[in-house]
Order: sequence, then structure tokens, then C-alpha cells
Amino acid sequence: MKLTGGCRCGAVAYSSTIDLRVGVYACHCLHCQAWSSSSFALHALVPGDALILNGPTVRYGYEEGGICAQHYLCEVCHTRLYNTTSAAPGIWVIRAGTLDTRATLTPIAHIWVKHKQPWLSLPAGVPTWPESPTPEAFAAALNGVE
Amino acid sequence: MTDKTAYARGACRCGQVTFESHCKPVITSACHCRGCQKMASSAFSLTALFPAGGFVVTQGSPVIGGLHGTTQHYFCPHCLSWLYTRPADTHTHVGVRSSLLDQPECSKPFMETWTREKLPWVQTGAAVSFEGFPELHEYPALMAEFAQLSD
Repeated sequence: MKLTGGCRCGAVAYSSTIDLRVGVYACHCLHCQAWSSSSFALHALVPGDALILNGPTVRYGYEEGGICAQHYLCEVCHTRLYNTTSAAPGIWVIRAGTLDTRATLTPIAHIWVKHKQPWLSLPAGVPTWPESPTPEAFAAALNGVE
Repeated sequence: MTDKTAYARGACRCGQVTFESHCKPVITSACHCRGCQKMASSAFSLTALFPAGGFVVTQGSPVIGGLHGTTQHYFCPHCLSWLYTRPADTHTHVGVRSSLLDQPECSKPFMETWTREKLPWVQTGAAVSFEGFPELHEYPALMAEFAQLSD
């Protein structure tokens, strides 16, 4: 299925050029809580060269621990659309709350749950990690996507 | 200047904008509407509703985002964190994104709204739920219940 999504105001929309199946994961770290205005961020890893984005975006970049991250947002409504990171070149970390199919996507992993808000209940049986998982463990969880 | 007597202080992710409230929140909530899902890029937004008179931006100059309508959504001009909302239908309160506040009890949602658009797997544990927004005339009773629970 083609992946489609966009911002709150409609100025920016994106779609994939090929069929993509995505695994959504939730990050409960304090940075993600602040940037999401929620208690976690929802992410989906997608090859950037498979996506076409139309509309005005602004970029917010920062460096932490030797890793350069860029956030891309709608210039008009400031919806966060996707991130890129020097730790994973070529990958777009789509902010999954902007996906048109978000209501059908259940996170297949929750990371940084040591900062999870105590009032939030997570579905049983979903893999969780107190911080970031190892790349191998995370790949195994994401590859379990049907 | 930050006032150490403030009830709650907050900041955006990068720290350019800081703000504080000298009053307790009158209600805390999670909103599951599709607009909030987009604005948060997540499953829902979190709000602590404060009396407008006790809310002060102590540093920085927030900019407008969202739909640029009569409800005003304010963002950090640098990191573009979504900070707070001044609702169109009332100037008496400000809805602050509670994940930015230093008072953890501000972020636990007492109420959740727009559950008809909620992502199915999300469970916030809110005490009261509404399929849309409550009517304006329902707020005094909700605020009284919240105040009783949070005392």
C-alpha cells in the first residue's frame, strides 16, 4: 500500500512512490514528550528515496552526542513531519501521527519506557525497552511487522 | 524573570521560550481529535488548562502555528515545540501543553476528549471521557470534580 500523510493545515503532503509496510514504534523519552506535546512520539522508519513531499517545510537541526538530527516541519502550521539523523543516513523517521492510516497502526515496540508517563497503559505483549534497544533487537521487533 | 513562587514552570525543548503559571490548573486533559493527532504528530495532545491571568511567558517570543484561526496555537520560534493555546471561545484560560511543565501532576489527564477519533490502542486512564468536547456549561462541574481529586 502507498504511504500517504500530511500536516494539520494541509499545506504539506507526502506519499510513497512504492508500496510500503511500516512498523510504528513509540518513543517515551523526555525529548519526544516535549516535541510531541504528548506523552510519547510515534515514529515509522521509511527509506527517504521512496517518498515525495510537496509543500513548504522548515528545518530545525541540532547536535547531540556527535549525532546530527534534523526535524522537518510544515512552515505554516508547524506540524512535525519527519526527522533525519546522521546515525541512519537515507532513513526518514516519519512522525506517524501524520500518517493517513494512523488509526490502523498499533505500535509494535515502545522504547525509553523508563520515562513513560505512569498513567498511560500499554497494550499487553508489545516489546518494551527501558531505553533504546540494540539495533539488532530493534530490527527483530520491526521485522515482525505483518 | 522566573518567579520561584510560581505553581508550575515550563520550557520548550530548546529552552528559548519559558513560561509559568501562578495558579493551579483548573483541569487537565488529553485530546484525541485528528487535529491534535496531526499537531502532536502522535496519538493525542496533552493540556493543562490554567487561568489566563496567572500565566506568563517569562522568556522568548512565541509564534503562531496551527490553522492560524481564532484559536491561537503558540510555538517556540526556534525548536517549534507546540507550547500553548489561547482558545477562541474564552479568553479566561490558556491551554498549556503539559508535557513541557515541571509539575508531573499537571500532565495526568483527568479528562479525555474526542474519544470517537481515539487511536484504538491508547489507554490514558482519564476519569471522564467525552466523544467530542464537553459543552461549555459542563465545565464548572468538571473543574469542581478535578479540584476535589487533585487536592
